[in-house]
Amino acid sequence: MSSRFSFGDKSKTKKQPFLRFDDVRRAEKDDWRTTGTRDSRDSGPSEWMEAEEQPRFLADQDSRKKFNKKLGTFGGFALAAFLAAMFFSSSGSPNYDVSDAAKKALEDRVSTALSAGAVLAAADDTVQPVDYTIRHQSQDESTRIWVWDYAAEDGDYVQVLVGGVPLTEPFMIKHKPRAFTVPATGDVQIRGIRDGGGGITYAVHFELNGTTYLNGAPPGEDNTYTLIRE
Amino acid sequence: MKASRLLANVFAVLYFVSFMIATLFFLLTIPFMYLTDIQVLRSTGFAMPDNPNMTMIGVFGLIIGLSMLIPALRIMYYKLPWLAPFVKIFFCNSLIMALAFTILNYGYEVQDPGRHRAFFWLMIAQIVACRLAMSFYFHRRPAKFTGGDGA
Repeated sequence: MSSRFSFGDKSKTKKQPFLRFDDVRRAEKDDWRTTGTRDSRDSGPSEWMEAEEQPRFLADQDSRKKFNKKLGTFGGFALAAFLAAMFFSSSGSPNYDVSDAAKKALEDRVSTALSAGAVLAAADDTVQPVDYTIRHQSQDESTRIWVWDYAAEDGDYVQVLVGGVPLTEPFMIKHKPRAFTVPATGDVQIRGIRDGGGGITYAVHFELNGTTYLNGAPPGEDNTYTLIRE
Repeated sequence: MKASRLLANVFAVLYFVSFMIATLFFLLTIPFMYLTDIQVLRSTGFAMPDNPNMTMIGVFGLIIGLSMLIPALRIMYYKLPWLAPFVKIFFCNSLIMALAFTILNYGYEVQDPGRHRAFFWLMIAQIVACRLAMSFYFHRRPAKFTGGDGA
């Protein structure tokens, strides 16, 4: 109970010799609202029900507003984290190319219709490693190639070599193609480094003939693409 | 008790039992899962093809965000005074660890020891910086026990 109702204070009792019961009740009610404590002597059933239904701190509207505001701010932050995670998550479904050209490419393993980065299948299939000879009439000294995973992004690693010399460090192939510059003549090898599951399958697109090759490379073995100028 | 309030209470309880309990459990354990994943990454030298933990953090963000933004669901924070500080601190902690793992995983996508070292130290710097920022934030705005009988 608040100290202002202490009967031991003579100065107050002198001015207010008798405290009416209603005054005490009102003071206790105020005291409960500010401190959150409640006395068993408190009043009628309607007020008791109100106290049962609402958590005590809710009696203070300012505290409730502040608390709700803090919850709302952090809730917004959590939702922003959700949106960011969904945006950056790599587990999202890619856009699979289901065109006739894509189906034909999966059968033939070679296609001039596919662009770099085309994703054709949801899972790796068994692909026999094949070496190719590419004849071209380009007069450029170098050309670009793009390497990517046309099936499942399952953690396959490959390495690009030129004439047996590593051009890159081993890297994980993903749906997003990686571009490299290689000589327009000579041997370009793609070596399987690590099988993430289901065999190492990849696609490589050569700029100089506009052709995409779907190939497989067991770990430690190379696929050789021999580039010959005619 | 009014019918609308009863309905809100039931909704809050169902939400808490269905989603929040699992979320709280994972918020507690995910930092340890990340530490294990980082150890595996460092020992094998190969990155993981995707990052399911990041997706989990996103889902937890959705669950927590809805629970704080929908007025009917806020009842659980009123009734459980420990819930708001727990969720705030552990969600931030999990988010920091998720970001750390994502950084390291990206570094290990190429098998280059120099790159591995660089991204490892970048991850350490990110954890320290984010933890300092988190400490500063909660120093300025303490995550107090609020609501319930102890308020």
